[in-house]
Amino acid sequence: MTSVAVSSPLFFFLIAGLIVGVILLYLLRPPVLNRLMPSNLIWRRVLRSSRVINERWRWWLSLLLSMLIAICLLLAAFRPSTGGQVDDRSLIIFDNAPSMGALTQDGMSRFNVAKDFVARHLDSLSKDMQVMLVDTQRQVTTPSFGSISQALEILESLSVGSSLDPLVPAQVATVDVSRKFIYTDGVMIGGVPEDFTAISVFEPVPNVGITRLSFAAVPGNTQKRQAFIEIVNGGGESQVVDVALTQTQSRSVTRQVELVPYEKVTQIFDVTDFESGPVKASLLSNTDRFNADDVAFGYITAKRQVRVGFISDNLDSKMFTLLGLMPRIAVTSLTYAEYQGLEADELQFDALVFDEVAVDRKPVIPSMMFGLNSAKWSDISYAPIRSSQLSVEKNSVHPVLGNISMTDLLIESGVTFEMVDGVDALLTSEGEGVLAVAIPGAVKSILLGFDLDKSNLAFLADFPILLSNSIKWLVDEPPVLNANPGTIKLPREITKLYRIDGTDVPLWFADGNAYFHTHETGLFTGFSSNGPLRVSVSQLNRRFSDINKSNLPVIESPNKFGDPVLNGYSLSFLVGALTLILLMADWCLYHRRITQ
Amino acid sequence: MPTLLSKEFMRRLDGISLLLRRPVAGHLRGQHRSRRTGVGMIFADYRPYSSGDDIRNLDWATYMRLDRLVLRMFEEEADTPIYILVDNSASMGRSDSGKFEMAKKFAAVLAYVGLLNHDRVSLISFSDGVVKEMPGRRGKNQMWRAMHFLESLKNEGETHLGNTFRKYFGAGRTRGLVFVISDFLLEQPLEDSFQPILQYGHQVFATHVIDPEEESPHIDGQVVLVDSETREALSAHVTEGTLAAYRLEFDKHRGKTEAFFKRSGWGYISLRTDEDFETSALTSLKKEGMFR
Repeated sequence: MTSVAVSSPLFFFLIAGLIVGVILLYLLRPPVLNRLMPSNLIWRRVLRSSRVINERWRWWLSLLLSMLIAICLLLAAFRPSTGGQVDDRSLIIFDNAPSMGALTQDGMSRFNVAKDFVARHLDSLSKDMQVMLVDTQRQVTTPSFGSISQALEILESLSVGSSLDPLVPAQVATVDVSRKFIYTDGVMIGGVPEDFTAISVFEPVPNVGITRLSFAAVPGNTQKRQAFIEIVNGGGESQVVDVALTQTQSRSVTRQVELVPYEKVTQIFDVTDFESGPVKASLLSNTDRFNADDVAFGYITAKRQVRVGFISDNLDSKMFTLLGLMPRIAVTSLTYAEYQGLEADELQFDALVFDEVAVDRKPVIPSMMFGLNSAKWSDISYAPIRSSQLSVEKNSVHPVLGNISMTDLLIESGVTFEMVDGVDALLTSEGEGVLAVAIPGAVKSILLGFDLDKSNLAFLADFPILLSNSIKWLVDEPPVLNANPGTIKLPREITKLYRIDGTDVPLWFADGNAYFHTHETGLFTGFSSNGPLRVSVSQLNRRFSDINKSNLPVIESPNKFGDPVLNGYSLSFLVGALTLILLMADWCLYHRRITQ
Repeated sequence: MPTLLSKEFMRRLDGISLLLRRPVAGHLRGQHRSRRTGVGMIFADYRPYSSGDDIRNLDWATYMRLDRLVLRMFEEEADTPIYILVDNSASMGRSDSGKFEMAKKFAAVLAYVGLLNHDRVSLISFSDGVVKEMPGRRGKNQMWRAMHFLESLKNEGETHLGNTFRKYFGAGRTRGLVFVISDFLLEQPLEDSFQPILQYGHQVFATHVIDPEEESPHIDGQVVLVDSETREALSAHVTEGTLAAYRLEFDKHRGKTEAFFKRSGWGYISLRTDEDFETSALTSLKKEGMFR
């Protein structure tokens, strides 16, 4: 069904003006010269022969013009629409992508400039106009047509988003309105649809941003650590910036870097002195007009030195020697009796390694136990190994056994474990059972049902790696989860999430995962029964820093920007102008017709 | 003395006489051959004498030889009625065209020559009918009357030759020489208009008066063309193309007019108002064989 809506009074004034203009033109038409002729006999013959075709064409042309005029007037005065919706509506898409946060030369952000434009646009519309305001970051979750005051309220509630991809509701594509506008800088929205009128708030500005931040140990010296920072100059001018890595006031490194236009550089910093924990990378520049990519957060998960307590009654243990050779481990030997004499708070260790001792109480710190044959404090039950020649299969996905071959492992005697929930099998012997398990949780444990004397484990080439992996798994935190601002997915086990300042962050759970939403960059810590999970939220993406890649024209200044209303009515004005031209043509034809 | 013709021109006309292509049917003695036999100079035939014949025409030589009375007959020289019809419709009278003046002058020439040759000259002005008439007059002393008649003419009305001929010649006029002086801008076909003249067997000599401005008008752009006779308004956007088409059509019209008179065995001359009247009139008439 088709319905029509009366246009704003402006159109009626336009039409009335046209009519008055045509009448005036008719009245003011130049006088026709009267020429007295002896006879019109010859003239009549001449004009008749030349006019036969002209008259026919003129008649058809006049009819066509009249019809076109009628159609144009209808289009200009009434704007038909389908689906029962009135055409007295306007669709405005507001781009609040991260790049809109860039500051213009006037000190206003592109976002605020666009807000100002949209507010002026809305103020200029007629009061009965229905407006749908949609943002590209889906902050308006259910857009719909509403009054101008409602649109202004929505506009005030919008903020710069964090998604690098436009999140426009699909229903916007099906909205059938003649006036569609998009206020954007054109950086992150891709292209502007043809049926939209784009109002640009783009202005190229200097920007340098961090696009990558990571930490790693030096391969040749595991006690040394390096930080890798990738910096991009997204502007068209050379920039000199100070790059700073800060952990505490006393632990910080700074370097000055010069970047030519659109250059990408990678800087390596020595952060051996940094402890495990959060690190902030920042750029300092006087000319930078986009601050959101000037800060990035990282987290050093690996401890610089691990204190290991070796509990064994065998003073000539090879394992003690091996632990002492590992670069970042400081090992201390204890007899089981000495260990028994220490209280929990007296254990100044990051991890414990038990060798051939019966551990009769649950360790309060992460532990690795060799030749464990009974543990009353655990739910795990034990059974002796029946065969002396076992072929062992390993759990390759577990980090403890990463890059390790257990093909040649031979075990003479020991115990197997009965698997229970929450325990991961590490080594399994077909027909016998599980020979080694890893117990995750706040206090992790690795249990082996055999010791070094009853197996050839110590003689395997990969034994040091197994030991190193085990200490790392027991002590180090899991890898940091790096994410961009927005909605971030976490493992299901995370039950609590805190910002670095200790404030609680709400979580919601869906599809077997936990989620939280943040517009801001920063560090978060999630907690679960398996221990903490560090979440680093930074805008580390080249697209984020390329805020000058736009196909839209540059605005000169907000004050010089044309009235958006003109754009909105451009079609109607065009139709009005066409009507005027047609009326003139028809008048000319009419005038000639009635005087001949 | 009337001023239509100058004295010098009239003096030149004194030595000119009308040449007629066929015998005339005048009743009075004149200077033209007629079909009637009687007193004359040109031998025509013999016939047997009958009682009452003029014995002055008996051929005595034949009587002496053959002993039979034979009468000699001569072609009688008679006058011829000259009907000079002048178009005084509105189309002839545009002030700056000179068509009407030329028509009157030409009528004066014809009348002068006719009166000089003792023919009976009638002057008729017409538009959609006979407007004014000077009945047939003979003798040179009637010239002043003819001039006065011509000078008193005024333009008015539409041209309708058919009506004029039916009204004038329908009254039983003696067959004679009909001069029609007009611009021949006629709505009716010439064939229809001249049907009465054909019916009564008059000899026609048409004089087509042409105004150069009429032949090639100087107008341009949007104009309303007002017909001087009917006051009909015709709006036209005149371009070079239109003018070319007009000139072509005018030539066609003039050619058709001339062709009609030639086809009918009548005389036709055209006089242009931008040419010297005396020279062109005499030259045309002599060339057409009307003057000797």
